[in-house]
Amino acid sequence: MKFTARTFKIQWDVHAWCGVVASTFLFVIFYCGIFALFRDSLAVWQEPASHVAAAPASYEATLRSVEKQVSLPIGAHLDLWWSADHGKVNAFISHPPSKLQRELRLDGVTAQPRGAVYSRLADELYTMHFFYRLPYGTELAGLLAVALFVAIVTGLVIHWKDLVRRWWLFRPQLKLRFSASDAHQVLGVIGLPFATMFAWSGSLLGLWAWLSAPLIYGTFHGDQAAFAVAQGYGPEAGVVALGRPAPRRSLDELVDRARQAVRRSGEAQHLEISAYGDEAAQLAVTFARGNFEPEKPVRLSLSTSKLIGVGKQILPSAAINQVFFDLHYALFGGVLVKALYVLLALGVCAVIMTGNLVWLERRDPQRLRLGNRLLERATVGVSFGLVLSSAVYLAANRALPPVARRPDLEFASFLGAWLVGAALAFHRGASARAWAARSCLASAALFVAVVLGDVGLRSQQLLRPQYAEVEALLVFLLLSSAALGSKLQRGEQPAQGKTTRPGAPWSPSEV
Amino acid sequence: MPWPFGCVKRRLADDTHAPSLRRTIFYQRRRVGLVTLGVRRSCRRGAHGAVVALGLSSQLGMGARPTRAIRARHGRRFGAGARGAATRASSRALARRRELRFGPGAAVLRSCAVSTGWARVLATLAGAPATAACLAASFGRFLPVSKPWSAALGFHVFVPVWVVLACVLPLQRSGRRAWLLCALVALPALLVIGARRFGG
Repeated sequence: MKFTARTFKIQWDVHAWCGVVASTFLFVIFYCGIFALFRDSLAVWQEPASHVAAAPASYEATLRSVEKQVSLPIGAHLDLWWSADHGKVNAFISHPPSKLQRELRLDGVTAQPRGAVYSRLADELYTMHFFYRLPYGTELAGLLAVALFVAIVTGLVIHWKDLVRRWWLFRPQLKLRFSASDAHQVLGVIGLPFATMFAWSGSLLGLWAWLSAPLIYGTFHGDQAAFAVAQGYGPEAGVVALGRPAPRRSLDELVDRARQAVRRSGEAQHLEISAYGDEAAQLAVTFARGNFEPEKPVRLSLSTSKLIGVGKQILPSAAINQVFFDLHYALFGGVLVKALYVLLALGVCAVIMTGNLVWLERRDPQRLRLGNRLLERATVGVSFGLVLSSAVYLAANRALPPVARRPDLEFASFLGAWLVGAALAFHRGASARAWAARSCLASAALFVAVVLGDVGLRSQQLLRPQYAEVEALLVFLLLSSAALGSKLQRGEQPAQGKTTRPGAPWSPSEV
Repeated sequence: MPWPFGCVKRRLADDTHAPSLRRTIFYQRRRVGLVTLGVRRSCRRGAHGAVVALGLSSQLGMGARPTRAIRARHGRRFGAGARGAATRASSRALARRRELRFGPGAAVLRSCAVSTGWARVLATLAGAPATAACLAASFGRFLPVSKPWSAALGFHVFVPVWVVLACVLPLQRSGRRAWLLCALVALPALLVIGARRFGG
């Protein structure tokens, strides 16, 4: 199918404008998405206290610790959530009649309350993935995902006639405009399914409330609860307390029974106790899910340990969403899929950068317009500044002593480094390319320092799976940034036989 | 073909030099008019600084890109002689150009031209999500399937419709047409929602 020249041109413009407006934000989303993939592992890596491998406390000991700290009334509702490595437990207690509502943060090993937070590195990088700290940041991330989706569709229209050729056509020997365009197209076509999946699922995640609104008000007459039930996220029918106190069975025994019911051998991720202390009390045990499998909570009687049921009804919307979200969060395939996601995310980052470069080289190669000069500097400042600041954040996690407000200091170092990196990119002393090279090399140096420090001081931890995952990620990032930095640095000196266009800001001659 | 369009098309086909109209002229989504400097980027080669006009309309209409500039006014339309800047126009061509700018065909030409105003952009930015929302709500209400299924389809159809509209609306000739398309999609959906709400 061949499109008319007019269609081609308009789609080209839409593609270019969507890309250039959303580019720097999307870079932040995809780069922080790499760390978001390893959030659980980073949560282990960031805290030296959790580096001591020890057997987690039993379920019964954890519940007893909760009972010791909070006087649980009969009929209370209790949720116990374990982290992926069972190093932390969060307990949520509620009892509407007595207006009791408490949250406890326990250590997974000792079952005692955790001390002050040592670091928020994993959480901050995860929330930066969807701009959670900004007002309406999640919705902004959703809108950016829609912009990415539009850019993908228009890009597909533009290259429809030669899509197959774009898989492999890369000509680095050509002028920057064409080689950047080739790189943009090759990486874009290779990462097309990945980027499409992320654009679609990201828009659903970010704009959930906005996408639901027309259905709630247009279809369900403003009844949010009815919409939630139709979507499969409605509250389940609660357990009615009989008002007769009854002794409870041991949680360890009940979890063992739940394991037998679903033939699982792993640890439970979530325990939910309804109508605590009552004769009708129930325990729902949820284990880690398999690939694209729905959750199957096992419900047991807390007083008699009788099996009540397994699983719950899955409605169409919840089933579709689950596929989207499992793909988005890489909850399948293990470490290999995560590694593939990292590669593809960096590929999308490269597509974003080369897209902006193509815009600049095609429309204003001499950077005569202020807007284009700002775009060039902002792209370099925000993108490479983020790479540098992430390296600073990781280094600060290792270097800062345990002082008061340590997590805040770490986060301030991250934001400060990003701000300084972005501001320096606007300095006219060097070309944008030179700043990009310097940022990459500085990031690589910091990643090397962190990795070497870990190898030297915490070598016994490297065999722990979560720890090894993070170290492998850091090694990959340091190699990538070192390679890119040295490549950009080499490009600063014009090679023999090649002429650099005078006055082009991406060249060293002039800004 | 109804009147002014056939007339304009013929007139444009006769004229080979109308550089003063700095707009590309389309007819039924076909480029039948000028390829000005702003559109030159889509040319692979040639057309540098010159006005590519008229004679290529049928090729452009089929989606081909101009590969060579047309020598203005007369002479060879293709080949080596076609390259370079446009030569000075004859008095006849100047008269035609004047007629195109100020004569009775000028208004028609303007109506054929693609709008560069903000209405089309606004339709793409605001009209597309609003229309998609209406369509999603009507799906949730109208589809003859169970409530969970209609809710699922309504919810998941929102983003694809939004994206398709965001790609299609810029292709409209003017902002008015873009909004008209939004209304054409949204109105039946709103009617369905209203009929179900007030009709029970």
